[in-house]
Amino acid sequence: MFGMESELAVSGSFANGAVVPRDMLARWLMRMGSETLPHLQGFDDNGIFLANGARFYVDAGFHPEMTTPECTNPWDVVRYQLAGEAILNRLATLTVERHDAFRDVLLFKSNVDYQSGTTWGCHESYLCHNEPAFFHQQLLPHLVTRSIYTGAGGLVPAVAGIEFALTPRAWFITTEVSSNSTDMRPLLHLRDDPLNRSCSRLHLICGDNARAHLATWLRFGTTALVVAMIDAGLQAGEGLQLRQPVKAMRRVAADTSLRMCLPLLVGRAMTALDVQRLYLERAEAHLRDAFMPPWAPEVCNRWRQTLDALEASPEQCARSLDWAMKLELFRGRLSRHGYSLTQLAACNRSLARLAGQARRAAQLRAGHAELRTLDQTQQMREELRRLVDECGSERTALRKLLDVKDELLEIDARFSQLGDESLFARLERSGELRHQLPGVDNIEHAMEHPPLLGRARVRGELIRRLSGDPNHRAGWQCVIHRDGRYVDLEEPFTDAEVWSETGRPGWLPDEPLAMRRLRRRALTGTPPDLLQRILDGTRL
Amino acid sequence: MNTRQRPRSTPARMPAGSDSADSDVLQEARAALEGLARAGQDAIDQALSQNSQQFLASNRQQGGQ
Repeated sequence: MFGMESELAVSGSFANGAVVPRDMLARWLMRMGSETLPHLQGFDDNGIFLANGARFYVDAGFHPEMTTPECTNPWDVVRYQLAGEAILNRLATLTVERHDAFRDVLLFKSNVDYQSGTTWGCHESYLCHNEPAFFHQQLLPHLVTRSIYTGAGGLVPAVAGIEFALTPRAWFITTEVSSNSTDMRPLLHLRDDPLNRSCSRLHLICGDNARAHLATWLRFGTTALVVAMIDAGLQAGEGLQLRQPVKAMRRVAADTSLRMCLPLLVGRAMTALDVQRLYLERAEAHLRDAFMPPWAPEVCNRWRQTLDALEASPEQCARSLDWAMKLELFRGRLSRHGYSLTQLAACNRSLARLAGQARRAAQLRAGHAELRTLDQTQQMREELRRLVDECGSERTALRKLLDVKDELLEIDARFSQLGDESLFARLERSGELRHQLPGVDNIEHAMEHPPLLGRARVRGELIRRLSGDPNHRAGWQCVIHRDGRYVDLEEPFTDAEVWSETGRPGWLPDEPLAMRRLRRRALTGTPPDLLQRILDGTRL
Repeated sequence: MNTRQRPRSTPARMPAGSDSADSDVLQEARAALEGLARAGQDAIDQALSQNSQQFLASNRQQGGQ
């Protein structure tokens, strides 16, 4: 069982053209969702749960976040991801239609803002029996190398010039393992938040928001199989451990030829393609094992087809994978502006030199502190433009390159934009793309109905029936009434709506969140003495 | 040139003795790429604003997870 959480970028303008503050946009979208969608308020006051079993809330940095419900196959993940996009896009449209003050509200399924040097995530969760740290050695090589088909494509954020990246997010992954998800983003997230009492949850934050259905389908299909093998005790990544995984991820991301060799701990080097082929072969060798899902053979077939196509020529995937599509778009645009690769390389070197000077100047102003604030990043960009203007004979060429880079960044953003006006939607209408998969359909149905299997179905049906009732709240593990009656959804594959009593209130008005969480944890078992005393008599 | 890069290998699954079939496949792939390139530039022309710098400035985001 697995699922996805997508943080999106949002922006908008008032009727007079002024930019709408993003916190206001996020609040309006949440308000529109509460007014128009069947839902129950989240138990932790954290967003709303929808009738298809998903959750919509506003995450750090005012990023609207839409999850999928818990899914049991990769087709459902793609379907519910598309359903979530359609829901959010509808909320954005309604916000503009119902309020004259807004001119537009735009949502972007991206992960990086190159102007401010910030990132946000597209996370994935996998049900498993072992704790997250168990997966460290065997899973990391897969996470580093799967970018060759999961990458969203874009530019390398860390450079002033124009260099393509299979996944720009790679430059924000700074450590192998960590429990942190904002300051030291890891390849493997160790946060232990199981969402049920009998299993663990493997939570990964290193992936990209992708538009191509094939990219998301492969991301979840392949990773689910690798996780299943490791969880079953197999050494799925044996001999593939990378010498410096974080650095390797950036090397993979910077190499559009897919020929870069990555040093391994065992002393030899392999390409990302070779690493992926070994994981695939190991999955194929265990297709008949009891722990493998029934769709494993189809995932392996497409996995192999995609690796073959990438190895023959990455251009073969230009109609089916995000990064390859964007690379073609960027190349075409650069060619229209008269740039060859040689000219680009020379300009990139000059800009790198000037960017170093701009960074030092901005750091002096910031008192040598690290440039972290949005204003400081903006100052550095302005300083760079000023240095370019003072450049003498190179000035025109460098200024033009910076303008072209802005154009490529807008292309990147428009590609990720939701709605019919986006670049991706226009490409789809042209009939030139080949990313779609048989079986990813019925999106309208998925907007309002949960998957057929698992606790999401029970949650979704309850929410449909109880929608808008302030006396009920929902969570991943339960639906609860104010008087303490609840439906236990701890077991991931529960399929029955069974109401139980606690004899204690579900929650109290104005109760601290910590107290409310204690009540939820106490729902399905006898609380320890201390907890019982807290719940019986006192508030925190 | 990075010495760690492998030379381009023979594409997988090339059937023996089928040069004309290979040529057809390559031609098809090239035609598909040209189609995408044309559609892509048309789509970009329609989707881009008049001022990319202004568009990007108005879309600045804070960091998330």
